[in-house]
Amino acid sequence: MILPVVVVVIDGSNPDIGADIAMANVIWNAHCGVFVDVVQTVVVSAPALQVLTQEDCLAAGHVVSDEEDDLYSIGRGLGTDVVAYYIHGSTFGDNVLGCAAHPPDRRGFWVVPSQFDFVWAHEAVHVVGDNPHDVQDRDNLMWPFASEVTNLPADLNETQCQRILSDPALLSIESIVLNL
Amino acid sequence: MDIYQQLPEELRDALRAFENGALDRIIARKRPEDFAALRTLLSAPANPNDRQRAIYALGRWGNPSVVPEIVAVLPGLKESHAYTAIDALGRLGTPEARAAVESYADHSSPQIRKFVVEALTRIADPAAQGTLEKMARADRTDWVRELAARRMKERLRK
Repeated sequence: MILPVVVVVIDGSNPDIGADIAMANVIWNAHCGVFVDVVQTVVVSAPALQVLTQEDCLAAGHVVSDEEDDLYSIGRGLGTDVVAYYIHGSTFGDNVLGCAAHPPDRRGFWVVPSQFDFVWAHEAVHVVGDNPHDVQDRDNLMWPFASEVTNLPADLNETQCQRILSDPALLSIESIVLNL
Repeated sequence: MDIYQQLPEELRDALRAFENGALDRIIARKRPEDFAALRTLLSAPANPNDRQRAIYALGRWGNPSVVPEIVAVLPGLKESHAYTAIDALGRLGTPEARAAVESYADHSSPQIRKFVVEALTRIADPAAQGTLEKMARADRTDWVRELAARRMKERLRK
């Protein structure tokens, strides 16, 4: 199965997209048989969105801020359900590396460049399959403390994979080939 | 004694997390012991990143009694932490908060001035409108000027 995504880079952020996607593919493919396919990368000059203000990063009862509304409008209409954003930072704090809360009609997540190349994959797992944190297994990708994940590359368990594989954002390789 | 040993365990975990959901859930619950612990992080020797997240949380708590403490630490904050403090002061919205925010309206960093615009947009005090108008008219950076003009119109509509 393939997860097609659009990646949006807000100019001023300096991400290593290749490393993040490579790690996502190592983890997602090893455990769930899913590959991430970046169908387009869009670099946008939007200085007002470099450092984002959000009302919260809650999975339930999330309130969408004006800036978040502006950010999640970018990269739409390019053929993917999920859009990933790289920003420079947020008012949440310098040690907050990502957030998967998003406007209800525009699925996606944002990350800031960091030393942890699995944060992108972690946020994607929140969005695709609507997976919560795993607070039992420190080897799991969804352990909530980045510096404490053990035995990298991180794991995904069977339940998480089932949730990912049942997500409508995924396409089968056969369907992509037939469309060609 | 280590300040972190005195924090409620859930708050300590929320500050360790690389996402903000756990801290947002603590803010939504508004327990007095969490407010007191967050307030302690402003003045005690704490990790600067944790202090930034405390400022974020206190700004959303809605209790303006912390404004003098946030105003006191603001000048010593690095730029990315000042974004959070200016945002917090805008949410708390007292005259002292407004004055502190306005003192950054001519800051050399356009990102700082962006947060001044956003903070002033939230502050109901009519005096905030004057500074916002000035920034919409004369800020030296195009996108900050445009943002101020947009927010001023939105503010007037409300």
